[in-house]
Amino acid sequence: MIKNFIAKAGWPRIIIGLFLLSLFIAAPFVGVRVDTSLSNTLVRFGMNGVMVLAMIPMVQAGCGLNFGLPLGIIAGLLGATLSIEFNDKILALVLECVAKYNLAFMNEQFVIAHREAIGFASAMIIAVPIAAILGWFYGKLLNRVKGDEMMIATYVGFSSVSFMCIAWLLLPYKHPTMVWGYAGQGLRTTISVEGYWLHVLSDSLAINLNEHLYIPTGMLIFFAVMAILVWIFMKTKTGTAITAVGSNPDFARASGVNVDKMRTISVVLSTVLGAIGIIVYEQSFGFIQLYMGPFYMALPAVASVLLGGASVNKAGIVNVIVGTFLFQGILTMTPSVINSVLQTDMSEVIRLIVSNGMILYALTRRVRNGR
Amino acid sequence: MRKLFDIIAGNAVPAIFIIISAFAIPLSGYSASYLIQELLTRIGRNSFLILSLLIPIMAGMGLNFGMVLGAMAGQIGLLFVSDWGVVGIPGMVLAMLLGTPIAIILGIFCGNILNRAKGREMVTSYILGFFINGVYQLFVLYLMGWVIPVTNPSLLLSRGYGVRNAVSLLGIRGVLDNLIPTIVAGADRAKNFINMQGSGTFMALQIPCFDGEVRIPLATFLLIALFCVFIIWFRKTKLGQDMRAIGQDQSVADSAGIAVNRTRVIAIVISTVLACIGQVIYLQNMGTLNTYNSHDQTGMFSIAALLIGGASVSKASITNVFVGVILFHLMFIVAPVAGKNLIGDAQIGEYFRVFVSYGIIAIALVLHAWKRNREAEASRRSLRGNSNANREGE
Amino acid sequence: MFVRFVKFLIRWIERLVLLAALILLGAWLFYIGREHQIFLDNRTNEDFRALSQVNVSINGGEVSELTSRERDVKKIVGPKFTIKAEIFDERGEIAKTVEREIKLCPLSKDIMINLPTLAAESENFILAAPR
Repeated sequence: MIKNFIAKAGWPRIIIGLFLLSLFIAAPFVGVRVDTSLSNTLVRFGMNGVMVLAMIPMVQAGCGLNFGLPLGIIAGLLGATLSIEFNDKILALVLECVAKYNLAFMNEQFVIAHREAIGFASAMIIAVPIAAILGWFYGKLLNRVKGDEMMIATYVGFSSVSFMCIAWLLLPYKHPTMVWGYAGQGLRTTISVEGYWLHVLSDSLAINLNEHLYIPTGMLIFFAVMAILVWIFMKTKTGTAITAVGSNPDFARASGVNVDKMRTISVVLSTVLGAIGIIVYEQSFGFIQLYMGPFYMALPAVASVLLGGASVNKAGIVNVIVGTFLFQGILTMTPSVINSVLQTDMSEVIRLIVSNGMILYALTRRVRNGR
Repeated sequence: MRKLFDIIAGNAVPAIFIIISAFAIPLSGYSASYLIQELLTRIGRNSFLILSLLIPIMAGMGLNFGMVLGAMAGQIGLLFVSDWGVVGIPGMVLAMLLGTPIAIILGIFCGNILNRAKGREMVTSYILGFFINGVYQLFVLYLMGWVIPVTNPSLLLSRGYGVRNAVSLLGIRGVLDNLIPTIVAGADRAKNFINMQGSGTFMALQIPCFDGEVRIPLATFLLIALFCVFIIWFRKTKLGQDMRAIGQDQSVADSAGIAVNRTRVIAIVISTVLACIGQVIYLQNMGTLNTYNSHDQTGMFSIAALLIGGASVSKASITNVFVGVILFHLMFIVAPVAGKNLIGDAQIGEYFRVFVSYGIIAIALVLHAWKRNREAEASRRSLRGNSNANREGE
Repeated sequence: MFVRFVKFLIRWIERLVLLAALILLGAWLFYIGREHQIFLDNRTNEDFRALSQVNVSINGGEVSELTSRERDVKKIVGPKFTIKAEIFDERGEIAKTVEREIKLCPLSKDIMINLPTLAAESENFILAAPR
């Protein structure tokens, strides 16, 4: 039975799992608190979870790992920045609606008390359509380049991030917290969301056991909801069609499934999840990172899902959960433990080696059929 | 009509570039002699690296993002040479000599990994570049100065081990470029130049009415020319022909008795070693080694330049290399200042040239894959007959 | 069988020879290309008193004028160099000129030459360089 588990899990995963476990065990001996580490890991899990979830649709549809996640992230950034830029107008709009239509529990006090949640929701509401449109074009592009999706995804991601660098400088944003001081034009590199929707998810229903153990329940529940939605979607007719397209495109086509349409849907879904994911990330992290911030953000998500057991053409919810936990666990524990032991900061180097090693391992697996 | 589309698609990329440059050059306000000088320097500096990409393309392995492995090998060689204080041409050659075995080992590793990821070589070599970057940093930031002896303390960080970020290469700065000092200038400057030279070979070309001066790194160009001759010769050898056969069709080459896997590894090894040498040439011109950054953009810029020159993922020639390096670097020099003059912000010009570099690779990759898919579909359609042509899921 | 083995052996011998040649090349480059620092020291050393003034030039390069207790440093490339020291006596005239050709062991990177010892034409004028 153990042999079965090893065969299914794969040696690299087991090694990394054991490594993480050993770090947790070693932690108290080197002066690192286990509960703080656990909290940090959980927080990072919540932050990154949705973006890792974004990998599932495209992998299942046979479009490969979504190295073009930055495209969805950009949609999310637009949503986030616009939600801050128009924050006052949005609140006024909501208040107007509440005054006009008498909704059950929504009255003025409710709106004002929950202005942060409304800001957060507005970011999502703005970002999702943008992501859907961008994803649609992106999907059409990927349909023309079957076989080379991952490489092109990478460069589409890079090009769009660099293009947006120019855009962030030129777009007519005016909000004082977001724009450069003396020039008055062009967005800053990092924008704080404090006062707008900082920790909206993380703090709601948060459990604070003692002053060290903090569980961001709200964010975790949000991730769970998203995961369940994705799971349900993959079991619907469209979802099953997508999986069919990914495992055997010719058979799917013969069964009457429109292969290209399914692929486009998967890309749109992936991009939308990416947009939602980055907004969740930002509410926990506290900052919106523009310009070159999103540049390499696809890699941790790709590495996480691969670490969880996914392959280039098969990914499931379990892969996402296990992989994100392992990956973020390593990212959290390695700096604190190893730094205490060796008096040096090896986290960057270890992150590079582990995440890219994992991706390499997945890329060199034999594929069962296709390719 | 299709043929016209193909012609346009085939030369779209260089054409776009020429148009952009035609706008940007007058906007930048640079003088002709300055541009020519900068271009010549950059051609000398970068051509070798771009030429190293040709062989894997010939062998059907796509764009070798793993060339950054060779760059790292060359840098390790330079670190040791810097530490031991070997200067001049001997220093540069010694760095290449030290880097080569490291490049060979890394190339074998890369080649074997790529063989296990057939059909996905480009992404894999791309990620491999990051992975080895991590290993390189582990080596240079932690092992050097600790397990690996470094005698010159000025190379190390203040904590006693690990190499500093900026290592001066003063000892070998310009040694290849200035081996045969050459200048093209008007009468006065030429005479000054001649007077300043001691013994040793040099060349001076006098042009009437030319106000500026242009220095040419003649020795570097000779080395590059030698390398081009090598590539042309290599194509005709048995090994070269084997690689081209593999590039055309792997299964046919296999049934013809060619050791496909082994030849692919050899192609990557050669490319990595050449990248190692190319990086040393590059750094010898720069004069400073940014231990953790110099190799970062090596792969990106070389590949962008090659693609801009009109090469594709499956076909690249020496002409592509030189056209590409000229066009790419022309834009590189001119964009920031043009951006500043046009919009008042140099930052936009900088971002623009980054965007163009990535965009060009994206466009080239897309065009190549698109064309390939169209050809595959056309052959599929001809096999099935036209009745199913409309159900292709479009 | 035997022929194949011999061919195999010859290939490996060729490779070893090539490898040895490259290592020798590397060693030779190291030898001729290494940059050394020559510290010139005009201090009283054991039996020899510091010179009141001495003009030193290495490989015919720039002349350093050193009075008593002064130091200077020069860089050279390669293991061999000539040192020419003109020693002045109290009256300001050249009392002696010492010219030497010195060959360094490539493993020692920097050396220090004690000028009074050199002037007295004694042998032990090469010291280790200061850290």
